[in-house]
Amino acid sequence: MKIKKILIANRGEIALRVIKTCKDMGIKTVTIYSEEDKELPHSYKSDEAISLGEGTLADTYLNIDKIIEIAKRTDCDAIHPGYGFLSENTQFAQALSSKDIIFIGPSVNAIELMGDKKTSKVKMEEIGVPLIPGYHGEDQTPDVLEKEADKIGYPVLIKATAGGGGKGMKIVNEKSDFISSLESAKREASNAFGNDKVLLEKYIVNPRHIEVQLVSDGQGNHFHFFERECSIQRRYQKVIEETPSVALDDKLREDICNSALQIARGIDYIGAGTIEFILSSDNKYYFLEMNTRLQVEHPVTEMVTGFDLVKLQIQAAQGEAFPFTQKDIKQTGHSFECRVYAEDPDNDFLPTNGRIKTIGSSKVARLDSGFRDGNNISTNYDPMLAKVIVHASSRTKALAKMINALNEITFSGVKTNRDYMKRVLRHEKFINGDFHTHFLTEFKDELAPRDFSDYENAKIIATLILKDKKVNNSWNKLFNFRNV
Amino acid sequence: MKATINSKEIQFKVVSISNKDILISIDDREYFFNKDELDFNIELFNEDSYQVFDGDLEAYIKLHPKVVGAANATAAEGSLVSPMPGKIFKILKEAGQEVEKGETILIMEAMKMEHSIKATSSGVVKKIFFKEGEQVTGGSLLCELE
Repeated sequence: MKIKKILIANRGEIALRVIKTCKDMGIKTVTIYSEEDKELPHSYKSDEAISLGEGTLADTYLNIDKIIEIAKRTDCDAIHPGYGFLSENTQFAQALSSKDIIFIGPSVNAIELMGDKKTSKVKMEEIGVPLIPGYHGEDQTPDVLEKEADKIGYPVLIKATAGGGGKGMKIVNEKSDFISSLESAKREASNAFGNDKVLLEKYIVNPRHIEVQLVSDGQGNHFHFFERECSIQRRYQKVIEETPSVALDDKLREDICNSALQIARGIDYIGAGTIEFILSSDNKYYFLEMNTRLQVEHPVTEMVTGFDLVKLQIQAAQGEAFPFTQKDIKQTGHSFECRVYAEDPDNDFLPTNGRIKTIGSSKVARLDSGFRDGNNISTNYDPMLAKVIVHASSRTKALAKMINALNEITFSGVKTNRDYMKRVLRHEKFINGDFHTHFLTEFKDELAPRDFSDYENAKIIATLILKDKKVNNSWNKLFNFRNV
Repeated sequence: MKATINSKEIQFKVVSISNKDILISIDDREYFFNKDELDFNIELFNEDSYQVFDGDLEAYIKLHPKVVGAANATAAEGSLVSPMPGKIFKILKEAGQEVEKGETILIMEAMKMEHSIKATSSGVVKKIFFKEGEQVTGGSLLCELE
């Protein structure tokens, strides 16, 4: 069946991203917005926009009943959930199917299965996808644990099962240290959580985050769209993504993409999904989790493959078969995405707020942003302001393009991580592709802002006093006092 | 004068200033800038701090004392604001009195100097918010004109 009208149950850049594809496909759109968001472009760039009123997230973007009522009232035949919010909510997907509204996403079963860490791991074992070797057993006698650790191979991570915040967590590099580390981990765990049960896991030194984009059509055909590398993270959130990954050679790329396809087949997947893997420094990869939705970083895949992933999502939801084969999907050139966050990287990445004066524009980059000049940034929502995406024939050229783009897209008025990302892009190790998921923490000092020279400081002060009209006026008024 | 630039305190002096150029000294060295040649952009960032940037450099700057808030209030409301922290030394006018533009309303004592606060326009003094001898912070509204 052809979808004629879609309600987009999201906000900001992803809502605009979905509108763009719907326009290309001749599909009408309905957006929803909280009163706080009524100045943002997603509240007026659709064919119809409906207010969710005021209130918390639960009252607005997460309000399943209200959203379904709006979809019914506006005659939408499908809902696109974007990412975050209700995109991986089984209750929502279930409710839609009972109201005859198409959920643009996978089946309720797939969301449920992959959303649970335990059931997904059992399923992965059954399919034969590599998991991080570990021991999660009940038997906690030191002898048994030590034998299990030997089997896993060192370094081994001992983790309190009740754990969190690094308490009761020990990295054991050699067999001779195992028993003493185990005792210490158990002591810490029992003090912190009143429970000294531990699990063992292979400790991955300098891991990289590699994920594979999948899209399955509506007729049981599964396709991969190659990998993305997302190792540059802060607080487990991705900051810079790229494709292809410099860590994969052709053979490893083929293997990891095939493993992802095996998962899609094994769970009868429909639509867009992403398999996240951990890649160790000795080139072994392990399943981490699956995201059963479109990812924030999907544009880099679109840049190198030339496919519109939102369009494929909609076609899959319509039950169509894709008119291409795996061989038609190729990686061409190199693409980077930088996520512009309203945050202060030099102050623990604390979120910032304010009013965007000017965003700036770029001739060389794709800018996906849910904001326009003059919009207020509140700390009530995700701090991501925009995604800057570039594509070029090589990694070096794409990197140069990205730095130019970040210079043009300034987001004046709000403190962002723009300057910080440029420092990352210029770091020797990043340029050489030599990084891992702890990169931003490990090189924190080298990524700190440089001190300005006296000349630069004087120039900054001169700019303020001469070029800002109000400062200049008041300077003359206030400091040209005559002594009485 | 002091400026905070990206959380670092910078001591500086304005040696001379005109509409077109400025001579600033930092650490006993002088730096001359012509307004037309200054290629940095500037935007008000929040209340009293400014974002100064070009493609490659991004700085957040705040002046101490904040000349900025003082100027805005003066210009916007026809009210008079203390240029810096200090003491109210003498009040020459009272509420209801007529004043000519440029007439002294009160005198502040700050940085061991006396500063006269003068009427920004002709009018009637509506209210004076402080008494003689009181301490005021920089940027405080001192009196209102009607």
